[in-house]
Amino acid sequence: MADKKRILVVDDEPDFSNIVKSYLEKEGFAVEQAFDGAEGLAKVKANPPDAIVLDVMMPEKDGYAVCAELKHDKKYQGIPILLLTAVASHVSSTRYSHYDGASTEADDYLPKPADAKQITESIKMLVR
Amino acid sequence: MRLMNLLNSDSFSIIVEMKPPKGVDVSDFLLTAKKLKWDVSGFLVPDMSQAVLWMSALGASFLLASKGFPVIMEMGCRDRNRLALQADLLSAAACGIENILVSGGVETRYGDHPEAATVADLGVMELVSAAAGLEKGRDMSGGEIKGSPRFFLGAELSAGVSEKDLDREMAAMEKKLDAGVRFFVTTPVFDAQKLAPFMDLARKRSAKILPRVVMLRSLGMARYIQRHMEHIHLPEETIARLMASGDRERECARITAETINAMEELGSAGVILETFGSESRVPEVLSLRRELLAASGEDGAGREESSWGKYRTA
Repeated sequence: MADKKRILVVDDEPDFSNIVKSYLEKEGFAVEQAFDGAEGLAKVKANPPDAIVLDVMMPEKDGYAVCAELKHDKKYQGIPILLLTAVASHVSSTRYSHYDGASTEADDYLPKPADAKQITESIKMLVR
Repeated sequence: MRLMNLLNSDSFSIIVEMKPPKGVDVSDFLLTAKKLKWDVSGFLVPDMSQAVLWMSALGASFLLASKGFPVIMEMGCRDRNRLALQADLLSAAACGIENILVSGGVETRYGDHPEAATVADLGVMELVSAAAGLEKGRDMSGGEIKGSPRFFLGAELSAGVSEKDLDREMAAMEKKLDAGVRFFVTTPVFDAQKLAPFMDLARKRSAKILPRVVMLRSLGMARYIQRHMEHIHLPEETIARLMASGDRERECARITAETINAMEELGSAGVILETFGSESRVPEVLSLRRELLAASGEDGAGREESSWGKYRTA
């Protein structure tokens, strides 16, 4: 039996992260979680996953920084990243700009609030 | 060769938008320009585009112009009053920068200093008139200036307007032409046919249109643009195409190359490549565009591309 694809969910909202985990597990993925950007990076480097679900607005290191660091590292740049962000709808009240969003190297992007089903469909597309 | 002459020639100009550095380390900025010089006709230096702090367009344009690179300097109305704008126009001219793109500027609330005040002392038409006045030797107060600058003036054009707003945008284009604008840079466009009405007017008035073409690099980028950047109409078919592709990065390059070729086929003088920091991928996109032209059996594989390297004077 083939090994399950491993997905790392990096999001500082535990409730949301748990919902995403549960949807992905129902689809046959093995899911690990991290609750801030620094922890997410450490887990990727310790045991690279098959794909990453990555929130932008997080403490320690935001999702844009984590995405950029991974995409500029030959060891990890091939790991597909789905970026989730509420930033765009709040661009006028944050230090993030549309330039940050548009210049992302993430493989896919969904705005928050994101439907867990949409996240799952995106991950299935990214790992096929 | 001056930009004006390049755009009036039969060649097709590829101009890359070069974001200035966010700091004083200009080494990467100049190195990127040097690497691209054989592939492109020149550079457009934006003026704190997307309302994000970068080195000013004047400083960055001077750096490029002093190395002999052809430059279009964007000058936005958002951040400076009429004194500063006229002063910057004079400085630009004195530094050998004659190609000026006048723009309104994105609201600061969308940038990284959302609390920054907006000046907007002059609108686009007033700034164009001010530049034209300086060319005649007078400032906005009527005072005489020592030595008259010479400008090749450009302005923005909203390519993606709806049918109901088309007449309004065409009327605005006529006004800009009457005021002395000689070239137009459009908002990013993916569908060349959106430009057709503007191209007809430009031809009648001997003006040039340079459409902005976004260099896509990921599905994530495409989705973000489609959802949140209202001035860019990115078709759903493009998203579907990227989702279906096995090599999305290559497909992004292909879409960009196809868009450039479509603009050339429509008769534009060239394109402005909006890279969002991906300048290193420009050679791949241009190489792919030439392959596509050759594969389509076009005579001469398209118009000759002008390149700074080819036209550089000693």
